Amino acid sequence: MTTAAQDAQLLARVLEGDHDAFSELMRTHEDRVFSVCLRIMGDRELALDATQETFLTVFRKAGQFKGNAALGTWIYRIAVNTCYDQLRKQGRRRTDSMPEHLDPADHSAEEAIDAASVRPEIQRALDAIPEDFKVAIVLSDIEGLGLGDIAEILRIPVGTVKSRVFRGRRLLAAELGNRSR
Amino acid sequence: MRDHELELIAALVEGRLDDETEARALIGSSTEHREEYEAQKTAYEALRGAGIAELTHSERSALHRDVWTALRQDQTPARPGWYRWVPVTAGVLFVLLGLVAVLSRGGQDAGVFAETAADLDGGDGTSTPADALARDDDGGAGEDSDEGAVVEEPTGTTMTAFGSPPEEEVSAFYSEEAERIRAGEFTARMQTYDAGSENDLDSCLETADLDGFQVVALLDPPDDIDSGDAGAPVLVAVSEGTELADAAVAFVDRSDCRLIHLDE
Repeated sequence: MTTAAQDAQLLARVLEGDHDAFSELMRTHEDRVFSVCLRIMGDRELALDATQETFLTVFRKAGQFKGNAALGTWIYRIAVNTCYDQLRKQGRRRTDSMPEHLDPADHSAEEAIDAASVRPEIQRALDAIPEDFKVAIVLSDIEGLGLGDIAEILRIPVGTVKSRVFRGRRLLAAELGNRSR
Repeated sequence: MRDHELELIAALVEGRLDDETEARALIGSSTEHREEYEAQKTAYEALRGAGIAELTHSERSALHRDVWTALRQDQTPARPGWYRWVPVTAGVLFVLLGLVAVLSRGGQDAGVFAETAADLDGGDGTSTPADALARDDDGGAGEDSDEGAVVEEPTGTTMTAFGSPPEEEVSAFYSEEAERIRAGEFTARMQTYDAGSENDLDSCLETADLDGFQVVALLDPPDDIDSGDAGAPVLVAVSEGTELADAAVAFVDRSDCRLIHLDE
């Protein structure tokens, strides 16, 4: 992870039109952004679209970053909001975690499956719980973010984050329990 | 259940407690607390085991390519409606000016031809152009040889062709771009190619003798490197069947399908 000073310097170079700096910024954050998007969207293609849209927004709004939060936190916020927008446009939650058209004999498909480390039953259970709780436990228990960071990202009080995490875990456990029967 | 009890249970599940005595006692105190602990633990361990998903190599390359393509379109300013008439107007003006030039030169050319004929005619009206050339070759006794003056070739140049940048600079530029391609970095100079013209690109690769290569992008080289048709993008092709990081990268002039640089 980069330090705050490194982030500030990188962003300053992006604002000056340094394309290499933006490529570097993408390389630093793209896996985490994609991971969050994949857990929230539940579909690899949709997650890739959301990831692309996230970085486009980061570039376009780079001038609006005030430095009040860490750059990573700001990027996470954009990623979560982008996913929310995409889900709203979809109008329903997707339940398929693995694209069915992928042929296991296809090398790129194998690559995708290996790289994702996705357990379909967990993604299906995540997709079944309300988005607010899903986002909270994805950020907390998969991405490993602290409650304070999550509160910054979602712009909600820490107490609300705790409540969503506890409730989200309960709902997920119930879904996993139901699916194992 | 009270908030601090929930927090204690969550802390136990997450392994944040130095002393678990109080939390263990709470869990054992009632079914409700035990069930809450089981639910939190089940979910927490399932999610921790899910791991952080990563992009594949090809997804990463595509992401960078697509982002830069979209940003390039962003940066192209919107053109007003009348702008679409500019090429038509330019074309009409070009034709008109050309006609004027040709018609106005017609009279001058007639004069030139007459003059040339007089030069060739040695006065007796019987000489031919071949005779005139023969006289020039001989130089003639005592005549000046300025008509046969030799034009000196330029010396000390490192250009590969008149007006082209030095070969070393071109090679260095494309080698650097090849490294970026292998690293999956699609910079602002690169853009995706028009999928509708794939046949055209395949035949271009064939002309350049690049069997087993596939076009992945178009490159807009800087003016001081571009030795081809100004404004025509350069095809960027990579060898198929290998990881991008190990692929050979070829750069082909789209206007004449000439191989500019092959980086292996």
